[in-house]
Amino acid sequence: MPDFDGNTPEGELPFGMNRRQLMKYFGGGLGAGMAGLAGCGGSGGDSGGDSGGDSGGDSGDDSGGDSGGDGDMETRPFPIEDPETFEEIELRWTTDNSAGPLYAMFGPLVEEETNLTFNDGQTLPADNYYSSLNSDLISGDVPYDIVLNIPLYLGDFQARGLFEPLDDYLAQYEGTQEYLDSIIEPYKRFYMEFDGDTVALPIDGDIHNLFYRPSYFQDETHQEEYEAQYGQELRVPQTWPEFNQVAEYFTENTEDGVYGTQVYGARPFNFGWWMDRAASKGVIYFDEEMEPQINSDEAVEALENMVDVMDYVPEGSAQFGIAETVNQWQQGNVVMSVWWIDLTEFTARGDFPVVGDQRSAAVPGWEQDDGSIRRNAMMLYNRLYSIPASLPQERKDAAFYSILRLARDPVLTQAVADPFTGLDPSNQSHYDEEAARFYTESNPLRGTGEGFPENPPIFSPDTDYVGGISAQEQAQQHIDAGRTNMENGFPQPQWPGATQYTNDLSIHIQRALTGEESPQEALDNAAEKWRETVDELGRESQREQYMKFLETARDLDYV
Amino acid sequence: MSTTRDSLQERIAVSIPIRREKLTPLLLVGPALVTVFLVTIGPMLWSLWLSFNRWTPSSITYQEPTFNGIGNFAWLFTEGRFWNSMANFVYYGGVGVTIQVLLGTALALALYNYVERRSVRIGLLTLFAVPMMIAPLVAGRVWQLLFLPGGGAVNGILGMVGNSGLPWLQSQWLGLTALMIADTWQWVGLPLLIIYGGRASIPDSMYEAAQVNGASRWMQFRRITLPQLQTLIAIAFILRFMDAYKFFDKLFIMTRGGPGTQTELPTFYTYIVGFSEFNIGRAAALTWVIGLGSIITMLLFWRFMNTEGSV
Repeated sequence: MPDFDGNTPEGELPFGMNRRQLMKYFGGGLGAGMAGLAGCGGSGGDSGGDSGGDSGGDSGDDSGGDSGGDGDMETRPFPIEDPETFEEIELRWTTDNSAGPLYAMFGPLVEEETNLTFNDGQTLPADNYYSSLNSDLISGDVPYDIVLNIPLYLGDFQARGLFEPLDDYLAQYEGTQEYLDSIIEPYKRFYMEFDGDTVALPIDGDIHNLFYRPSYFQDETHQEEYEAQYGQELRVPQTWPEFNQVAEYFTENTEDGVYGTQVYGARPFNFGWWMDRAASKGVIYFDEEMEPQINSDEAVEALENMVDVMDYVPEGSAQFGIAETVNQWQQGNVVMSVWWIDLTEFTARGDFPVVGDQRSAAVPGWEQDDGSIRRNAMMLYNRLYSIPASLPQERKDAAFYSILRLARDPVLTQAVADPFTGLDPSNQSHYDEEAARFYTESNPLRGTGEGFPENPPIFSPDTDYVGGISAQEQAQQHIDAGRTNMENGFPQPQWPGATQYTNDLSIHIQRALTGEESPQEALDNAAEKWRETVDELGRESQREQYMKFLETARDLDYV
Repeated sequence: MSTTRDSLQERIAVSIPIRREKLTPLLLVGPALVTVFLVTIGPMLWSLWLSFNRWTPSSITYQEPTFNGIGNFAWLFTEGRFWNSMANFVYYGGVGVTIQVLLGTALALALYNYVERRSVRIGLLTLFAVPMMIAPLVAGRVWQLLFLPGGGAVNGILGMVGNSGLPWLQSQWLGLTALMIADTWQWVGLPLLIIYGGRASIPDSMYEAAQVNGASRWMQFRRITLPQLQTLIAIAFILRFMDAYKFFDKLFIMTRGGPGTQTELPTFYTYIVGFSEFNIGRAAALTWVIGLGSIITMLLFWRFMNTEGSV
């Protein structure tokens, strides 16, 4: 009989099978037998077999739809009820330095329920995460049980089989189907899976928002002067040309040191800010023959728009990364900023000038022939949790429970509304009214500690918000904007080679921002590097991987 | 017959103690030699072999070393980014190191000649030495903040004299200059200490004799001080040049080789190829070319100094 507690050594499994094979073959038989006894016929038996072995393949289409196996396979309750389910293990984990120490924050929950504990974790720099993590992974003997993964790097890592397929693990727990159904579709389709296997659980649904200072937009003097200068109403910009125009106005008509906007120019993520503009012009990464499309006329226009706005941003923006752009916003040095949805979280960590004076909106787009506006906000970065495949089985079982505990409600819903986690909405439930309320309250699931010294709400009820709105209204407005952008999102590359493509692209984007190359030159040079990379990695294999990406994008109407 | 046997026995009797004598030193230094080979020579030979292989362990291709002859070297000599980093190094290493050594020499001589009180001299020497005790990454972070275009102290000081400020870390030459300034601030103390020690060891009687003979201060400097310090100046130059070749910490913090790749230096580029792109074969080729280049530079420098005289 299959042993689900993870304590059966591989060597003791029948016929030298591994655990996955055991579940596939014997689980199928068990399910069929139980179904026969229960009189459930083929469906019960099929689900037993399918959830063991075929869920890997099925999850490619149904996102693990069959892996729930809730009907006939014995599943564990979630959260687990037996503290002795796992051996006493200290789990080792890694994170990036712009996320909170998540297991320090929520680890006590797991520790109370189980024999598991967590070490202090390893924090790696976000802008050098691939290099830092790869150095640990490259030997094959990974020093972590839980790896913070990024979709941009997922293909490169998983092409080497570094992470454990999770479908069998998901099948062990109750409520899996409901959990999988709750994950926002693009995250599920683009970022959780590789070659049909679920290899990561999303915990952070990054999406770009447009943030702005309402006090500037609502100021009557600015409204009059803007209209006098441009013949248009001052409003939150709807198009990218309007965005540049508004940025120009505020740079020239506000106090010294205040700029209209800022640009995230640092490598390797600056390409996301270009794609905010380019994707909404219909630009895609490659065509079906793996010919780069990043230097099309539309792509060049998008980069020209981004380069033009450099006249209205703080000096040095071409090198600005996470810390610099957050600081500029916190200090009130910019009136608008396109940034990840959690920019406002950083203002809740202290007493900053912009507290109470920040709103969110849909990112600008481009006006279409029919007068509508096409927007595509980048779904860039997006944290996931994965488990190294090289671990002993008992550590994998323990690690999986831990990441599932964090990735499912109620933990994740509270975590995305916590200003010290750096996590963003990734489930449907993170965008409803109740979720908005969590943004106005302290997180009830954690205390304080190093890296999270306080427990404030992101939108405090004690703050005076511009326009006299309540904290709840502020929070609702914030997540409504996020949802709008999510519904018009655009995915980052995530197939093998994505790291190389985006590194090369980001170098030339930065050269364009500094004027070293013209936008046309920059994108032509980047496209040439992309062609070299395609040839180096193998055109056919690249095409095969990219077509999976492209077909999913078409399926979700991104392309 | 017995004579031949005796002769043979005598030869054996003599040779055995001789072999034993040669064996003992070998046994004593052997472990150290093995360690040196394992830690230094062995890895060097391994990296030399890798430089003739294509190996990208983190990619979906070439996950094992695959011999490709001089392919990596051919790539290197046609790779624009490498030559850009070398051009940057000519500026950074040539100009920067020269400034450090000249400035250190000038400060050392000024301290010795014009600061009479010994306690003050020692205090100032200590002050110049303090930056050397700061971790280079920390120093780089501090200078990055000082060079911030908007709120940095450097542009603030320039503003006081009527300059609107410079985009220090936003362009190639200003970026390299900023790196030079930061490194000079931290390491000028090294040539200063070396030269100061050398000056302190020149007998005063030489200067007294020169004075008696009517030599001006300039003549004393040219005919006594400079020749006496020439070797030490060369040593200071070589030490700083070697450090310039492996300059990394401040560059990583202050510019990351940017904007774009404009301030990359050869060692940083090697890091990118080896530990960001994980192209081990190409990184090994870069390492050997850069290493040989530094050795040739040093040999040429020593040859120049020997030609000039007393070194």
